[in-house]
Amino acid sequence: MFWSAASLYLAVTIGGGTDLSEREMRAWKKVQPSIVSIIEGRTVSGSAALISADGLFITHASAVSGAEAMGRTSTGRIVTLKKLATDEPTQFVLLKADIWMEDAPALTIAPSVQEKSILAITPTGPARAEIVKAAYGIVNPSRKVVSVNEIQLENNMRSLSGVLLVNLNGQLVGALNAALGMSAEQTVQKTRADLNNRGAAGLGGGGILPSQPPTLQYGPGILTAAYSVGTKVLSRVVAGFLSSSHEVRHPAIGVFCRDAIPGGAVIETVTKDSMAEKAGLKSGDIILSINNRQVRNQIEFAQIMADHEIGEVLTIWIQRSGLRQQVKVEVGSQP
Amino acid sequence: MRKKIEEELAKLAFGDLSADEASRLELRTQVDPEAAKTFESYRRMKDELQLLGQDVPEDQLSKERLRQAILTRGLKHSEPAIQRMSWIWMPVAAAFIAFGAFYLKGNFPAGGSTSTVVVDKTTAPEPNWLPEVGVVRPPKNDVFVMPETSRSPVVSSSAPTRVAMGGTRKSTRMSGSASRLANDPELPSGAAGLDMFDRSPMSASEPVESPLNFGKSAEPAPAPTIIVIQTETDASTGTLKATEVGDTANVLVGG
Repeated sequence: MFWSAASLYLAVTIGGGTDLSEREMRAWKKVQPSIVSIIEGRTVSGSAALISADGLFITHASAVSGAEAMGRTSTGRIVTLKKLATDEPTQFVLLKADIWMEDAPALTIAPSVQEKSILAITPTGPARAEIVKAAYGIVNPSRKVVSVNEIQLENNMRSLSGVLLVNLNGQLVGALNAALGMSAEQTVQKTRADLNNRGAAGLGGGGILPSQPPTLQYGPGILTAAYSVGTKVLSRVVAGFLSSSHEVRHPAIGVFCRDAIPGGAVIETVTKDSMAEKAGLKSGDIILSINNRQVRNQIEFAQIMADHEIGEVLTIWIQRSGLRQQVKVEVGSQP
Repeated sequence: MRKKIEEELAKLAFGDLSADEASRLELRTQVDPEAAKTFESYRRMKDELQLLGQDVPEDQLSKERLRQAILTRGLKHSEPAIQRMSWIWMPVAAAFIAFGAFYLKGNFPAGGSTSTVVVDKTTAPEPNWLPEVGVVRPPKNDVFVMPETSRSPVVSSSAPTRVAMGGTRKSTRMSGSASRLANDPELPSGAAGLDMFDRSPMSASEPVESPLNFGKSAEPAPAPTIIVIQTETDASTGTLKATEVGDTANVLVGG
C-alpha cells in the first residue's frame, strides 16, 4: 500500500513533465501558434519557428534529413516544408511552407539573453531549461568560432533534435545545436532505465518501482548540457535567411589559425580570393593584435573577429620572419 | 707578511690565542722586526678602540666585532652614523613623500586646487603605440614568403571531452537552484543584466600594450570554455555531438 502510494506520488510529482509555471505556460501559449512540429516518418523530429508571416521557418539541421519534411501546426493542420537554405557554420535551416494559411505572428529574436530561465520546445512539448554560461564554439567543418550558450535541460525525451529555445517573453533565443555526449557508464544507466520503464509499462499503469530510481523521469533526472548559438549570431542568421538570396554572411577575413608560441595566432591557411589574401597576409604570419586588442592565441583571434562586422577595416599587427608589420584588412564574409 | 701571520698577530694583540701560540708568536716578534711592528700596531689599535668603546654599550663591544672590523676595514675613519640624526629628517621625508603621492595621483588636499583629472580612455593618446621606426613595412615589400600549406582545415577532434550528464550534474529544478546558479563562479558577472551571454569574454577596458611587445609576453591567455561541435550526430540525443576542449593548443580555427 505504501509503495503504491509512493509510486503514485512520484509519477504525479516528477513524472509529469508539464509542470511549467504560470509564466512559462503563458510563454508557451504565446509562441505555440508560430511553431510547427516537423514529422519525419511517424515521429516528431523537431520543431520549426515561424520567422516570416508568409511561411518561412527556421529550424536546426538535425530536424530535417531530406529536402523537405512534413509539419504539423498547433491547429493540427499538416503542411509541407521545403528546405530553402542551410547555414553551414550554425547548421540552421530555412524552411518554406508550401501553403501557409495560419494566422500566426512571426517570432521575434531576443536581442540578448536577459534571464537564465527559458523554454525548450522539444519533440514532446515544452520543457524547462536554463542558460548556465556563455562559451565559444568551434563548428565543424567550417572551424568557425561562434558564441554559444550552454543550456541545461533534462533529457527525458528520447531526442533533442530540432529543439527550439524561447525566453519567457516568447522570443526566440536559439536552438540546440549540439549536446555533450554520454559516457559509457551513462549509456548503461540509460539502457537500464529504458528496460525498467519498459518493464514498468508492462506491469500496466506505467508506475515506477520504488527500488528503481526514476532516471529518465522529470525531476532529479539526467541533465544534458547542450549548446545554442548566441542571439547575436541567431539574428544574423535570420536576417540572412530573410534576405532575397536567403544567404547568411558571417564576418571573416579568410584565414585558418593555430596558436603560436609564445603568443599570437599563426596563420595556417589563407583562403583563396579572401580579404586576407588581398591584404597580403600569408601562411606563417603570426597575428599579434587586431585593432589594439592583443591576440594571445587563435581562440582570441576568433573571438575578436566575431565582434566585428562585415565591411569594417581591421588594423592587424603581424610578425613575419621576425619582423613586425601592420596590415589593414577589410572584414569580408564567410558564406 | 703573510695574511695568516698577520691574523695571528691580531689575535695575539686582542688576546685570542692560547698560551702556547702566544708564546710562540712573541718569540717571533722578538726576532722579526716586521712582525714586531705589526703586533705593536694592533696592540695600539686595541687600546684606542677600547677608549672609543667606553661610550658604546658593553653588549655591542665584543672582541669578535672589533677584530672583524679591524681586519676588514683597518683603522680608516668611518662616516658618523646618519641614523643618530634620522629623527630630525623623518617629518621632512614624510612631508615630501606625501606631496609626491598627491602630485602623482593628480589629487590635491582640500583648500588647494579642486580640479579633477578625468582621463578619457577613448580619446587619450596611447604613448606606447608609436610605431617603431624602420619596422613598419608594407607587406608588398616583404621578400620572405612562407610556403603555402595544403593542410586541411578540418582537424580531428580527439580532444578531451567533458561529459556532463548523469549524476555529475544536479537538477537545476530543485529548490534553491537559482541562488546556487547565482553563486556559480562559471556564470558571467552580472548574470541578470543585459547582454550577459552575448558579450565577449575580453573586456573592452582591458589594458593595451604596445603591439611591439605583443608575442613576447609569457603570460598565458585565460582559458575560455571552448566547445567543438562535430558533424556527426549523437545517437543518444539525436543532435550533433559536442565536446568540450580542455587544451586549445593546436586547435585550428577559421576567421
